[in-house]
Amino acid sequence: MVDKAETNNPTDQYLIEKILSGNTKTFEIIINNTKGLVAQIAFKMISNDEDRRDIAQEVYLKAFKDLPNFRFRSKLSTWIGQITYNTCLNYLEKKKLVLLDISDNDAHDEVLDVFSNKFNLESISETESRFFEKEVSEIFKLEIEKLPPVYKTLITLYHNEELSYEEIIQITGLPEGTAKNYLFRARKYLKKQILRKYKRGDL
Amino acid sequence: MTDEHISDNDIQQYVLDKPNCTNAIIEHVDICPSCKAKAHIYQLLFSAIKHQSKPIFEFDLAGLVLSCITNHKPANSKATSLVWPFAFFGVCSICAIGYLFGQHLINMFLSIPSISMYLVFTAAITLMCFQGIEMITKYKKKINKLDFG
Repeated sequence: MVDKAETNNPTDQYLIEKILSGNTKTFEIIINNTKGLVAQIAFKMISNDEDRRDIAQEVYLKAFKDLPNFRFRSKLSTWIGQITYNTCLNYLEKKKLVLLDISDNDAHDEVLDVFSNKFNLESISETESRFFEKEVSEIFKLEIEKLPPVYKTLITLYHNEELSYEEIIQITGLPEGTAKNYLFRARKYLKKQILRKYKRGDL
Repeated sequence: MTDEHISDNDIQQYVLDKPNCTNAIIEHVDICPSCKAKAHIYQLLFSAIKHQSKPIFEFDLAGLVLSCITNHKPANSKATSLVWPFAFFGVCSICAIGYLFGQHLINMFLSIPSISMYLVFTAAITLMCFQGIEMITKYKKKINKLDFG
């Protein structure tokens, strides 16, 4: 039995040891602990329900098979997140779907920036401000769904799952600078989308 | 405070990590209505993402996976249990061949001209090197993809 006080993540180690000793039922605990993260990644990268179901199953079967090779250099959830991300990437590559392209044009940045002044909410009442914020939030949600899979996943992992840069880098295997750059570009793109909508009068 | 507006990168940093921003950035955003408005857009964006409902699988994922793996041990233990019988069988086979045909094999190699022997060995070693390099490359790729842990 492992001394729990000696390890950084005793629960992971305890669970894995139990599974490796033949108690496969314990794997259910790992599934229940990590399925939220797997769902986040799978839903952001795969649009088809049936494919998502297959991928989720494939992820856990791969994780189960490779469990003896897990070396505790990261959290178990991060490792399963990485398997999920790679499985989804392979699926998207097989389907030849666009992973990264943001068709953005910086040429109109200055024109759009003029409209950002309208977002200074100090001049309007609190009720109007809340209503406006709710409306903008709804539009952001729609715009996030339109992002390419990799950007959508990165931005969700950082802002919704609240993972650290280090965990995101471990999951995606991207270099730190690249991951930060993709996040920056995705946020900037979303900001521009909301300004474009404002310019068109959709808001 | 600088007259020029700060970059989008700085505004994002201001919203995400204000304590680690330089004083110049903080002062500029606090005074400049345009940059303050941009910071507000980012605040709205981050809040919208943070409050998005988290997706859940509408099926019994644990049940589905467990039905596939029940009564199976993870791959490594199964592989380990098979490795030793195969290794034993392999060693026995080599010993048997050596015992039965050892002298014939030695005579056969001795009867081949030395240049031909060198050529055969060089070709075999070259091929083994290429195969070894390919195996290591494939292994590293797989490890990078799946098993960093």
